[in-house]
Amino acid sequence: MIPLYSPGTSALHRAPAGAKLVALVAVGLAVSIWRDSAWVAAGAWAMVLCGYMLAFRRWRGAAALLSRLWALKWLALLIAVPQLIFVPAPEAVITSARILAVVMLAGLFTLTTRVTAVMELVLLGFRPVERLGFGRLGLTAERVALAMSLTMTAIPTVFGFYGDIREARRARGAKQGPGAVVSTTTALLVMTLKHAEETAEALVARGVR
Amino acid sequence: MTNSETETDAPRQGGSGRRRSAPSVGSAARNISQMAIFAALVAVLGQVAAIPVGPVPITLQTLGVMLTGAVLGPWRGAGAMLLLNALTAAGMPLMSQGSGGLGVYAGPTAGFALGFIPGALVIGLIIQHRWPLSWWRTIVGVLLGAAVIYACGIPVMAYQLGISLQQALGVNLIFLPGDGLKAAMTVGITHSLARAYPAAFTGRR
Repeated sequence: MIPLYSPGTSALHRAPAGAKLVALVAVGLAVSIWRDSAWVAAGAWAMVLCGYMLAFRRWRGAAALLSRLWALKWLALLIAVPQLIFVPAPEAVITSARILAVVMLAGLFTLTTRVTAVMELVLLGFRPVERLGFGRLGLTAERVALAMSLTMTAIPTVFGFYGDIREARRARGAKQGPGAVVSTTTALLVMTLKHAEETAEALVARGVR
Repeated sequence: MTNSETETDAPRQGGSGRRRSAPSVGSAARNISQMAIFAALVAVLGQVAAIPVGPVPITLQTLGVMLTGAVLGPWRGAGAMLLLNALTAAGMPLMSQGSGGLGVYAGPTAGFALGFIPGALVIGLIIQHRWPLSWWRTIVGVLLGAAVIYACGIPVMAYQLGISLQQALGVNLIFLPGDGLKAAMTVGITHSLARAYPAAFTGRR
């Protein structure tokens, strides 16, 4: 599975992940406090435009912005349709613009920050939890990091299982429908559980208990 | 990845009989791998087999969430969902239809994504209260767990969109038939898995 990160050398790419996160939370809070103001929504969109232009060179910036927007099409529908039903139109436009702007800014964080950088941030936040006594229960930062990287490597494997099951069903000429979902998912669960068992054995062989 | 804590209180093989619950493979290793691989399973189910209901395609992601609670039990189930959320926030496109990144938590569906954690916990608590499984306990567990996910998701959606709770509930009625079908599937799959592969449920007992 390909992370959403998009490589680059801009100031936004080079800024530390923690600082970007703090800035993002600050903007998100500000926008939700002054939530009815058209100016705040417009300002947030100005930040979105500047941010994408700053992170990527001109055409790539516009392309990144448009492709993020396209990826959010279902979300945009989910935001706009209830708004237009329940809320007067001007308000609906402001609210929809505000939410999409914050989602786009958060997307900018994701586009310009490596997954490993965010994982380091998570582990940094985990150290105090460990010291609080959870470490003695076995909940250590090392294990959290191990679990996160195992998940990343497991995703293509589970995708592969799913593809195999689908292919086998197609070769047999099995039917589609809810019954197919049940039998496919049951088979997928059994393969997944066996894979988890093998992975656990491999971990034990490498010294994890 | 060694860790000294467990090494000191778990005697080596052939040592004194003061072993704790785990009989075979290291329990931490098994817990970690099960949580990680179920987080991956839920991510995969969020990308495949979309059932087109109306304009918005519906994925099997919530089926995966309910199954995670049912099969892994409350704590590992919740842990797997926490992993899924952590990796999504870190920038992986693991949620329904390849959505991901911090944007998920800035949008109106944030409550649903975070609600997977208590949802799986509640389902696991009820279904795995006792072995063997009972049909009525599975049905109650799945329904309550789904209700918990909705209870987390709807207030966040109402707040984000600036609409009332009733209106947000009304919006989510479109998803109710799909989720009802997935809840029914979860009950069936859990029990057929318990017959086909009981080790999944009894392995740690």
